[in-house]
Amino acid sequence: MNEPILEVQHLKTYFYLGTDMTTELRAVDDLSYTLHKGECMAIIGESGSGKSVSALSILRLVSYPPGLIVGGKILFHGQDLMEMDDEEIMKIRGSKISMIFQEPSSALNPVVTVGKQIVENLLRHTSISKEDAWKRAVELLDEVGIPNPEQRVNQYPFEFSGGMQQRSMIAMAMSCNPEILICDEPTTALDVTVQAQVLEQLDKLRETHDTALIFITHNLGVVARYADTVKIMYGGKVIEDGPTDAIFHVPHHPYTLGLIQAVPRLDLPRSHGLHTIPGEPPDMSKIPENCCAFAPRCKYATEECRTKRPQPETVGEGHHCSCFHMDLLEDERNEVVRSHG
Amino acid sequence: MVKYIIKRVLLLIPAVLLVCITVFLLMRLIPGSAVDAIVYKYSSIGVEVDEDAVRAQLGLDKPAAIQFFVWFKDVIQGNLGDSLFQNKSVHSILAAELPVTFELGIITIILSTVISIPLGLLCAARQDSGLDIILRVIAIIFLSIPVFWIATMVLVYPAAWWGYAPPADYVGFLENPWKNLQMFLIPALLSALGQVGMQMRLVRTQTLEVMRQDYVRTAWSKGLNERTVLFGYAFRNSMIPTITMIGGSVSSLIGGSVIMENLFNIPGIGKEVVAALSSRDYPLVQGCVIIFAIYVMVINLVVDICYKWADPRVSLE
Repeated sequence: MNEPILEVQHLKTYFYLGTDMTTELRAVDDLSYTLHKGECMAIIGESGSGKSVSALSILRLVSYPPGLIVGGKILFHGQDLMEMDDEEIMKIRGSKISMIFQEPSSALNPVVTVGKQIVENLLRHTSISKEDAWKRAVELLDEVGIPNPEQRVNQYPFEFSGGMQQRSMIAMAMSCNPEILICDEPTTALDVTVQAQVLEQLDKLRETHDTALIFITHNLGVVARYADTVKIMYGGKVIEDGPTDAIFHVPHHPYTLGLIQAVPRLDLPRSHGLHTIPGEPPDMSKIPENCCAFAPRCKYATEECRTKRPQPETVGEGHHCSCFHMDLLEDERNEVVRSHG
Repeated sequence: MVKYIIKRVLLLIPAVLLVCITVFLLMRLIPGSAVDAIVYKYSSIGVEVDEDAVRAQLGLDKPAAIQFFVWFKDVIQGNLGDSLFQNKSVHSILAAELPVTFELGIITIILSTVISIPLGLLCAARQDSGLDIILRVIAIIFLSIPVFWIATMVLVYPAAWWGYAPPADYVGFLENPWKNLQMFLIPALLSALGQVGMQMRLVRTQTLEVMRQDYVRTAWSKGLNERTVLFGYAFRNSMIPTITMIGGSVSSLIGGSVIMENLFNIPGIGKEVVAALSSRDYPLVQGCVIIFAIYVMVINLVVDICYKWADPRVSLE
């Protein structure tokens, strides 16, 4: 693999809730990973598992109150983003590390033309002239496959379809050739066919610009197709991570296995039904410190899981899992993996 | 756009017609007529006048419907008639006094907008800071103080302590701008206070609302600085309610001026209309109300056009 560009070490982002801000919610609890040049890393998890917050934390976009990054380091080329002053981090945002968001219709400024929003980014981070910035905006829109970019550049977001809005978001995020593009559920709000177009677009950009992608999603199909490595988050922690193949073929955590089983199957008869993980996502503010957050929903859970926090163990090449009962999973895993081919 | 404006201007016609009928009827329905006022005025100085002769002279002996059409025929020809008590046409009164009221109103609106928008933005940018809390308390105080009370205080105390009073003789702006502004600034500032309180709170709330939107998060993620986020994103998007509110104060400018014009002896139209109403100066009141109505409707049209300018999603069709 290429050189590492981003190292997240023991990142902790907590939220303080309630009227006196005494309820502590550990949205991201001790997250560590390394991202390499050109790598596509997926972060998977249910709503509220801390995956979006972990992404916002990288650019220090979590606003206080209620959110606060309470610990950890985020090393970008060895430089800690946490230690930077506001002006320095602002220079990184949108130029070296960009972000695209879930709802393109609300993530674009509704009263400013799409072109101006791209130009704004270019003028902020590069020294090109206004005129060249507008030309560049047209090129960027063309590059992400928007028809008639010369006209489109002067239109407002509401005149664009959802897919086109997301593609202009991508154009905007890619305008300064960032080294890292963080995609926070970029396709969740789009039609399935449009999703595919947007994903292809991102993949193409990754290849042509060698941009590293952090892909936050709950769509396993997307992950299997595009990601090099996968992190599975639950209750603010990574419970399993590793190369995509390993995660899909030899999952070690009961939650990962549950997620794979929950993918709807078109090849099975309808009577087969959909597989679900019993129970509900945890109330993040009520997870005790010393336990496995998944224990209440896990059929393998024992007293140990409720009183101790499992630590990550290496289970394969670059593959780690935090679970006390990985060995108990083997039979079920073999069956699931066999049936999923 | 042009089509829309033409349509709206054409709609003025039935609206003005309705205003004419309503104000005419209302004036006749108030107890006591112009005739009574004139008879009373002369009898108080010991002169007996013949009520019927006065009525006939004023044309008030004819049936109301006839009176209406006689008046209305003049109005559609652009003649608002003559005042019953002053030896002037309604036109000349309006021409002399409307600009005075407008000057007062425009200074008020400029002051309140220039003060309230930056302060509202500042409060939003520093939400819950000491500064925000202090400014919000001040806004509430401004909102709660009755304008006639504070105006009276401002007139009484400087006079008692330092023997200072604002000039009471009106001088046109073009004649002597300094003296003119001396007369207008204090009343304008006082009537701006209440509006500042309200507008500042509105700008603050609206800006905070916008700051929570996804596109503001996008703006931060692009590395834009606070000034750009605040003005280019938050303020631009909170413009519609701000325009509505400023439009509201522009259209209530005439009514709102009555107290200040009376207290500071400013010869504006607000003061004139109140006097005309109590003396039952029918043509003067009617003429003024028609002009006010057209003014309010035109301002509303301007506000609607401003919406389009502030938010491209607004359609004027």
